[in-house]
This record gives sequence, structure tokens and C-alpha cells, in this order.
Amino acid sequence: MKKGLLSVVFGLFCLLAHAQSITIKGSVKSSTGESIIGANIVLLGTYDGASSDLDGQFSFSTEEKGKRVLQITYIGFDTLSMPLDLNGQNLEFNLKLKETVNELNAVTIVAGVFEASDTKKSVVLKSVDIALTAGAVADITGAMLTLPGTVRNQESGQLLVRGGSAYETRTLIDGLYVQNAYNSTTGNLPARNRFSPFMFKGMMFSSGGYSAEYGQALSSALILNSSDVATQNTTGIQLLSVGGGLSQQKSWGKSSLSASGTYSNLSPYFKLIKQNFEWKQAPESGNVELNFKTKTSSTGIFKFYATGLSNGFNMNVAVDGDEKQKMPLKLSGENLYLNTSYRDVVFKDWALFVGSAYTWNRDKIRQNFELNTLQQSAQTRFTLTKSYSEAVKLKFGAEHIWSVFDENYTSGETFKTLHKDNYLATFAEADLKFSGKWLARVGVRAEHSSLLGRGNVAPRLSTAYILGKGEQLAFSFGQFYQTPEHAQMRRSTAVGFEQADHYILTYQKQVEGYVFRVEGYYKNYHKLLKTTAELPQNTGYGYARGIDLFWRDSKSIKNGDYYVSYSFLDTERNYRDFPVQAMPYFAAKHNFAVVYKHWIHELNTMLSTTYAFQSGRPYNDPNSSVFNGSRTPIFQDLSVTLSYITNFKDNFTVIYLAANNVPGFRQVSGYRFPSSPNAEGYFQGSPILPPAKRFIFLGLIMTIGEKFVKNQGNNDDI
Amino acid sequence: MKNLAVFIFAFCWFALNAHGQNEKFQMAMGKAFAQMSAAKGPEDLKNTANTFSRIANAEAGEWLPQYYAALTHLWAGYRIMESNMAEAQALAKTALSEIQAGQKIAPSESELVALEAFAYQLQLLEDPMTKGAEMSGKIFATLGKAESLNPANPRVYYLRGNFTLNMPEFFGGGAAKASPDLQKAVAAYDAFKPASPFHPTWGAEEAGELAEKVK
Repeated sequence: MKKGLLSVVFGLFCLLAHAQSITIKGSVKSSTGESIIGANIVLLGTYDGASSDLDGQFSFSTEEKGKRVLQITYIGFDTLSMPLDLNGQNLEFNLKLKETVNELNAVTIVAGVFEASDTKKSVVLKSVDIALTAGAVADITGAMLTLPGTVRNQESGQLLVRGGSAYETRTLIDGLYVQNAYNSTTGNLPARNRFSPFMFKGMMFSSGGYSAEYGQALSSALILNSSDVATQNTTGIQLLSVGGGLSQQKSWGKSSLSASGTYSNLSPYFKLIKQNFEWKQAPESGNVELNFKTKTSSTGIFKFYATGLSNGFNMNVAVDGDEKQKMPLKLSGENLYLNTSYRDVVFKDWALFVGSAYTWNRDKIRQNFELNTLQQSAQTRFTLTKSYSEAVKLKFGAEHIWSVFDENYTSGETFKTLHKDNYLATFAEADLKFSGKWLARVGVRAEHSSLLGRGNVAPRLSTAYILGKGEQLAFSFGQFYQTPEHAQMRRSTAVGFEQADHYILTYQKQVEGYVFRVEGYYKNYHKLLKTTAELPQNTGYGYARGIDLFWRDSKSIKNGDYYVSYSFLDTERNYRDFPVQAMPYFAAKHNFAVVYKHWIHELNTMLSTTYAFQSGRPYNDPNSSVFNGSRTPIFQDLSVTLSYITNFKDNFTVIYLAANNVPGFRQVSGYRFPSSPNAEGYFQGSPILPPAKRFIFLGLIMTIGEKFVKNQGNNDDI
Repeated sequence: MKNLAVFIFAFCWFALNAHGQNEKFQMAMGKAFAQMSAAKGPEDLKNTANTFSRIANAEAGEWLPQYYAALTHLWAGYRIMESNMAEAQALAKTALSEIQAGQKIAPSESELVALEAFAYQLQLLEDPMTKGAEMSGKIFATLGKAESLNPANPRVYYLRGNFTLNMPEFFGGGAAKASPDLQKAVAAYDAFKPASPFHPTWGAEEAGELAEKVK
């Protein structure tokens, strides 16, 4: 009896104690004041909690007592933890969550930069976009020429950026300079970039205002980052209408080695398709490549890359611009490029990069003259980066480039130019984040060249501010120095660096599937080399200003993706042999390009088309009294590439067909004039045309090796 | 008197907590299951995921709440990916961290490994062109691991069959290649006995439909 009573008392007591529950309620909002629906509110270590409703409200009851922690989580926002003291009172909170900083909403420097990457989400282009751009035939430069700020030039095939000549753009691989980024050429035959876009995991095309990390480029930097350790064992076969290639790749998980060789010869092709050029020997080239990569630790990677290329051709070209007098022009070029780098985290939190590159390049050109050029360069470089906090990141480094330019020009007598340079540079750069929305990058670079016997100090500044979701405003300023071209210093090297100042203002809006970007810039050139006097002098000057527009839409059209770019460029210079300030031949006022890609599901085919329009470029007509006063006709091009993806005997295979200038527009890139007038006192010019009206290319690439589908475990009935 | 107070406290604690803990878990899971089966759209699924992750928070030794939190997050992700890929990817990432939390509790659980592959599949769909080659290798390897952990897990065959079916033929996908896995899945679902009412059973119906389709 007594026992029973006790039980009842206990029971009641327990229930009473248990029944004392309180209500915790409130609302969850983002820092911009929008209600957050579906946030998870939980009293840690208990079952108690709730999700916020359509108005961001929540309410739940709990019987817990004492010190507890209330945790609020929502995807895309920082988790909020709040210590509570539960003392029987109902509680109410108005909570605010802060958006998590991630790649998509983080503030980054966008002024002057177009980035292509497979790993980053915030970029405007993917590496595969570069490879598949019609008209580029997997040439990196060709693809970059569809971006705003560039000028098309059929006669050189090189990258011309915002009123700068080809020499003013530098190519870098893993932070190291590429001495000769293009294969050797002459006689208005366009060059190709030596490097395949498939080698890189990311590319950054900076059309100005780039970081203090880089120098020796007045206009632009093309920064290529090579892929990491390969994970598959494959054999690649390439059959092209102009040649073929073989590659072998072996992966050991932590390391990979690949070797490849390609050979191309355009002579069978030229027999089929009529050419504008009088070929005596069609372009022929052979290339070998070796790639070794190994992970040295969980954070470290060592890379070694070597490539050798030999190319040549021979064609009949007018001597001295006189079409009636033609002579064979023969070119042969040999190039060796080595690039070694190592990166890792050292001393706990310092990111270290050490690299070296070596180039050996020999060109021989023969006509009624002989030109032999041997260029060599060896670079070593290191950088160290440390993040002191979320707000401060510091990077500094130094590099040394030894280079030799050895040129022998023989036409009757021999002129020899031998330039040796020891170039030393050091830089420091700080990323300062003033808030989640405002970032500034302040840097300075100091350089010294033994050839010129002088140095320079260049400040750089970039800043970006987030205006709203996916919306950024950025500004960039920088001073850029470059050693003048060797060919311009034949008579004397007692000159200084050429200089350009960049001012860039960018607005960019990026929402899922769409990118809009507008950039205005002003560039001021000074100390450009003038060669009109007896000896070269740094008395040249000039300016470039313009507006670049870019729009990309990969969402509105199903399986379709397009971008449009437009550039307006106004530039004039007085440099080299210009008698007055004038627009240079490597500039065009209006440049417009549309790139459209469509995946045709039923046919397993990717259709890629590029249309380009460019207003005329200046050329100097000796019959006219105005220097560079004439303009070439409008340039137009429509290129189409079809890539058919298939499975040949279980090996992944791509067959593609590419055609440039499908409608057959007449593409004049300038005029050649003889040095002396005819009997009537008239200079009879002739147009510079591409080698052929159209270029058609057929190729097959097959990858033999690890299948994407692999039998796993005991699934043996496939 | 002091002893009595201790006794009362211990009794109450036992009566309402220790004894009730398992019951509490059962009840909470039961409620969450009801919420899951009533879920109509991605918002409901996300709220269900919240419920499961609250159970996970209270029951640090149970992997099932983490499993279901991840599963409902993934279901929500697959439903919204057409309209909001960025959020779908955030959901995939969350699901993967929940799967990892579950794997700390049950390191060799085939169901969690199979679900991991289901999350990778959502990640692949963000950009099949660039992620396809790498991620499909990862998906097959993960499903292979789930299969070796428990060859009787029908979800392994269902997920692999479904993935193979949706993969382009030139990569070695398509109906013919998917069929053996899907037939195997149907058989495995028929033979499958869940270890508790809360162990995963989903996918049987879908596997049956797909197996019919590819026959």
C-alpha cells in the first residue's frame, strides 16, 4: 500500500516536472532582410527544433532546462550558434544569417581579366569552350580573338590587344614566360600558338591592368595553367587531313607521364584546294612533347614539360613588294621549350612556387637575303604567398631571365646584332579585403635589365566592389614596362624601357547562365621607341581608349550557348618610323564577334559557329600624303565546326570537320607596295590575302584505354 | 531525505529519458517518415531533411537520420536542378557532408556508400561536358565499393543501371548496357529484407519501371 502510494507520488512528481515546457519562437532573415524559408533551428543535443516557415517564422516547445545552444543552419549561409539559458521563460528571437562567402559570391578582381577554367565556377568561359570555338581549330589565340579587346589579323595570327602590337602581349605557362609562343613564320602566313588548349586546366586572358606578378608586356598577358597529374592510362590517335599524331599517357595515381608526337604536312591538301600563295614547299612541321607530373605530398606537385618543334615552308613571294618580281622565300624554324615547376605549402602556411624555363629558338629565312636568328632564354622564378587572415593576403617573389638574341642579316654584307640580357625583377602584392564586398590588390614591381643598363619601378592597383548579387564594379590602374623589341635596337641599346599606363573600369553582372560585362579603358603610352633619327630614342608616345562589351547566354536556348563581344577602339601612336601620330596597322575601330555552340542530341554532334566582323585596319598608301590614312576593306568571317562524338569499338572517338570563311568573304589584311613607283609615278599596291579563301579541316581523334564505364566488383554479366 | 531526492531524480530520468530514448527515436523517425511520404515538392523535402538532421543531432550514434537527411536533400536537389542548379549543387554538397557524418558512425555501410554515388551523380549533372569523364569514373568506383560491402544491396544495381542508362552511348552508356544491372536490381529488391522498419527500402518501383523500359 505504502509502496503503491509512493509510486503514484513519484509518478505525479515526474509528470509535473516534465510538463513544464516553454516556447522558443522567432524569425530568420538574411542580412539583406529577406525571410529565410526552411532554415533548420535546433536545440543542440536534443530532438527539439523546427524549420522556418514561408514567412521565415519558427516556433517550438522544449522541456529542456539550463544552458543550451540554439543552432540555426541554412544552406549557403554561415551557421549561427546562440548560447541560451533556459529558465522557464518563453523566448523570442529575430535572427539574421550571413551569406557564406564562396567562389560565386566572393569578391574577385575582374577588371581586365577573362578567365577560362574547368574547376572554378565563377569564370566566364571553360577550357572546353576554347577548344571548341569555331574558326580557331583548337588554337588558343584563335579562340581568344573572339573575346572583346582583341583585333583580328589574318597575316600574323597573333594576339593583338587594345591597340597594342603582338610583341606587347606575353604568354606565360605556370607563371613562366614563353619566349616564342607562336611557331616560326614569315611572309604573311599566320602563325599558330605552339600549345594545345587541352594541356591546360585554366587560362586567364588579361587585356590590361594585370598583377604585379607579371611584367615585360605593355598590353596584355595570356596566363596558362597546366593540368595536374593525369588519372587515366590512354593511347590517343589523331588522324588529320593535314597530318597525324600519337600520344601515350600512363598514370600511377600519384604520378603521370605522357609523350606525344605530331606531324603535319599541308602539301596533299594544297593539291586539292586552290591556294593564293605560290607554294614551292607546303608548310610542314613535326612536334614532340613530354609531360611528367608527380604529387610530392598531399599539397605538393612537381611538373616537367618539354616540347620541341621543327617547321618550315618555301613559297614564291614578291621581292620588295614588286609583284612582277617573285623569288622563293624559305623559312625553317626549330624550337625547344622546357618548363619545370614545383609548388607546395612550406613553413605551415606559406604557399611556395619555384619554377624554371628554358627556350632555344632558331629561325632561318632565305630570299634575296639571309636572316638567321637564334634566341635563347633561361628563367628562374619563385613566389611565396601567405594568408594572414581572411582580410589580408601577401604575395611576393622574384625572377631572373638570362637571354641572348643573336641575329645575322646578310644581303651583300652581313649585319650582326648580338644582345645579351640579365633581367632581374622582384614584386610584392597584397590583397586587402575591407569587407565581404570590397577587395583591393596593391602591388609594386621593380625590374632591372643589364642590356638597357637601367631599371624601373611599377605600381599596380586593382579594386573590386560587389554591388549586388553577382554584380561587381571594378577598377584597375597600373604602370607597365617592356624592353623594346630587339629588332628595333639593332643600331643601339642605349635606350630605356617602353611604358604604358592602364586605367580600366569594369562592370560585370553574372547570374546563373548569363554574363554581362562592360569595360572602359584608357591607356597612355610613353617612351616608345622612335627610329626615325640616327639612333633609336624613347621619344615615342600614344594612347588607346575604348569600350569592350561581352554578353554570354548559356541558358535561354536549350542545348545552345552563345556569346557576343564587341569592342570599340580609338588609338593613335607616334613611334618607330611613323612620321606623325597615326592609327597603327594593328588596330581596328570596331570589332564584333558572335560564337554559337549547339549540341545536337540526336546526332551526337556539337555544332559551333563563329561570325566575326571588323572595320578596316589602317595601312600606309605611298600614293597618299596622309600617313596610315587608308583603310582596308571590312573584314568578315563565318566559321563552322562540327564535332561528331562516337564510340568506335568501345573507344571514345571524335570526328570533326572545320571550315573557315564558309561564305568566301574577301579578307584583305593590308597591301604591299613596291619601294619605288612605276613609270607613271604611281605605287602599284597588291592586297595581302590569306593563303586560301577557305580552310577546310577534317580530323579524327580516338582515345584508346580506360573506358568510362568499367566493370566493377562481381558484375560479370555485362 | 537526500537519498530520496537522488532516487526520485534517477527514477524520473530513467522513466522519461533512458527508457524513453529509444522510443523517442522510434517516434521521431516515424514522424519524419510520415513527413517524407507526404512531401510534395522540394520545399517539403528540405523541411523533411531538417527534421532528420535534428534527429541526427539528438542521436549521435545513429547513422540512419544522417542517411535520410542526405537522401531528402538529394531528392530536393534533383527536383530543383532544372530551375536552380546553384542551389541543387549546394544541396549535393550538404548531402555529402551528411553522408560523411553517417560514415563516421557506420564506416562500412553499403547504403551510405551507394548514396554517395547518388550525390556524385548530381554533381556531374552540373556540367556533364567538363565533369563527365572524371565524375563517371568516380561514380562507378563508388558503386563498386558499395557492392563489395553488400552485394545484396539493391540500390547499388538500381543506381548503376539508372546512371548507365542516362549516360551517352559514345561513353559506353545506353539501354543495352544498363539492362543487366536493372534486371539484377529488380531481383535484389525482391529478395531484400530491411534490417529495421527504418532501414532504406526506396527505389524498387523506379527500378521495376526502368527494367521494363530497357527490356
